[in-house]
Amino acid sequence: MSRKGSRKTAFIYLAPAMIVIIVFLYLPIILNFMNSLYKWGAMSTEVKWVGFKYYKQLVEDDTIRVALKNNLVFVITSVVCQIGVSLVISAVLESKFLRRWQSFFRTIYFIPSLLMITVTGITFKMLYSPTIGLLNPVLELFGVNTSNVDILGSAKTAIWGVAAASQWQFIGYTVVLFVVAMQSISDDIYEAAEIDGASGIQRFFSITVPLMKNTIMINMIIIITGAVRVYDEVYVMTNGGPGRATQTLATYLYQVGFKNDQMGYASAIAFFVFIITFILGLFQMKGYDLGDD
Amino acid sequence: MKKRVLASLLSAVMVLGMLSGCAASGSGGSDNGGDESSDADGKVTLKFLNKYPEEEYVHYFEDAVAAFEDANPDIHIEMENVSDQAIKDKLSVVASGGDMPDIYFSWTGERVKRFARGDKALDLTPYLEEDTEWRDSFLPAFLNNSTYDGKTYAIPFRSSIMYMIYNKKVFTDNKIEIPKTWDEFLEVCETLKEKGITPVGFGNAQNWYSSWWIGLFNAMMVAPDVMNTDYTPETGEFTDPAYVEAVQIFLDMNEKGYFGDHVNSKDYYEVREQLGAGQVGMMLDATAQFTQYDDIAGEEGWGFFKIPVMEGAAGDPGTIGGGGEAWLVSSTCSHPDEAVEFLKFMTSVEQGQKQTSEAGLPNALIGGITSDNATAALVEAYEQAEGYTNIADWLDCAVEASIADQYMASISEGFDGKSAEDIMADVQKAAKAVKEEAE
Repeated sequence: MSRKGSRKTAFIYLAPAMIVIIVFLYLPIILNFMNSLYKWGAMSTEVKWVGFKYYKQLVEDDTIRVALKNNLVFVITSVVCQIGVSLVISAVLESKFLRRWQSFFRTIYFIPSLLMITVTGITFKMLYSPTIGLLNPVLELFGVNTSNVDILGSAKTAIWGVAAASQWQFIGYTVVLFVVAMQSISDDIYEAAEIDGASGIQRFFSITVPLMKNTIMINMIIIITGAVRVYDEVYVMTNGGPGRATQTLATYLYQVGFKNDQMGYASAIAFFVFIITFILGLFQMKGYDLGDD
Repeated sequence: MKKRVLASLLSAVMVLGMLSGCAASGSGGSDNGGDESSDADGKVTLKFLNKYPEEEYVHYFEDAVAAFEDANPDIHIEMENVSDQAIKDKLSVVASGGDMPDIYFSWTGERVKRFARGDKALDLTPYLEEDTEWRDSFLPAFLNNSTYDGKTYAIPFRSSIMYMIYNKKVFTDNKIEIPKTWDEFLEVCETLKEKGITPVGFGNAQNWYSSWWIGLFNAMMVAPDVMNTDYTPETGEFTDPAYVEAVQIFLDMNEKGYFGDHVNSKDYYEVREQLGAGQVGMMLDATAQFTQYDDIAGEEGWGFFKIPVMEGAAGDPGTIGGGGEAWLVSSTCSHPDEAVEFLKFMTSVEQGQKQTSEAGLPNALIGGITSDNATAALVEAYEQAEGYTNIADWLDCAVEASIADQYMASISEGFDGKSAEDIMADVQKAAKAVKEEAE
């Protein structure tokens, strides 16, 4: 078969996947953008061209600012906990004197990530509750005056409460991924470093972290895009409240589209979220040069 | 390098594609076309979207549908039940898809009007005028509640009236009389607070509960014609100072500690249990939930009274807070006569009484609640209610959705320190946006 023929065959094989991707991914993005230029709602028959009005509204909307801040809180806490803290935990688990118990601890850390987010959300909501919860009595043991401690009921603390629940759930997941990656690092390197007199901390930063770069980066991408899209935790625990203090981009989008029936504006928000995640994705992929080693 | 950029583009888009997945076609729904609901053998199939999947309710509706099908062998009713929370979303979604069920559930008030405005509901006035006996069988406050532009779009089947529930033991132990005036009511709150009992059970973790309160206060304090203008999306401004006063009264109650601590993280169910346990003296609730209190506080353990109106308030004294649930016929329904036939059956006196006795859902019929089919408390509540001429809807059913959303969100911020003036400023802004959109 000629080279040209095999290329043609390749295209035929690729076509079904391409069509599926185009129809279900690219087309909706374009349609969504077009929808955002109209005023329309699920309940009303009226469809009116409004141009870029909703994008102007989006820039002026205070709730969008609150939502962006909350997503940022999620991004930061997630990266710190699910990358930073997880790496430390997995390094400790991989250390010689804990290896015997490793599978036990690994399981303990991993179990929360198997739970449904709804379950975690409701559990934490109860833990935080100032009337029936466990958190306030525990704080009291340490001599803290808890009469004003109401994690989810106060606008200042609510988003941190939600983010904390999410970290508790997913730290174990990245721990397991990191442990596996660490195990693939050859012991020879560590031995050589040890002979050269490197301390445990030096070995962690000079050997473990650089050699796990790819795993860390992949996780980083997943975690950050996940944090930008966060929805379930907020929906279960606070539903965006009190007031609008815990609205994230995704929960606000849902509120606007399906509760307030302003589908046009919701489409504009969706496109805005798309742009953010798209740019983030590009930066990360480009910056990290995946697969270049 | 090029490949990498392309690959990264593709994968980034893939991850994000999910978000834009909720985009739907902007064309909106129109006709679902054809006579597809007619079977070959001439049997008519009607799709019926209802709100009662729970064990205690679903049997009644299944039996009722079966009984109707027995009596009308050429009509087949396809009932689907989804939960309270889910139906709001489900209706939005099917409405945008265009494939509306022939008969569907909605709360009365603005929610019905929303369907009427969007041309999703059939005008039922001709059917009601044709059969005046049917029309006159409903409690007028509830039927009137579904009127838009002088036309009736929904048939009410369940009614709810708001009363103040109280724990009898708490009241007798502390020698408290049922308050007759607003000032007496506040005195009762003060007494209970001194005794270390939370006077009024209220939790705002799910903010629909504050919409009951503020809806009631607005109805008490705002002049009826002003309220009517403001509750209509095309003309709403919410600039009357009485709205600020209403919010202020609500915030003051919290400020004085009448709701206990941490209102924003408690929810309705939690405080209801506390009322049963005697930790809470009173709470606002609707007749639809009355049967629940028999379980929580014991049949003799609780009572109710109408929350007294403030002296000199501008609202309509004949108004009581509450709301109804109704069925609508879709404007795309190809067999409206059969659909109306079904609604007539479901809201007949016989079925209405069954609905109340078997499912515990108070019907919306005149004389529909009797000692035969309902608890004594319910009968008494409805006897009292016959004197009221108007229903003040829960606010989240009464005003346009995005205004209600802003109202509720700002009030939660109010419990966190925002002033009543700022709250109403937020609401005015939302109302203005809605008004401009409507023009």
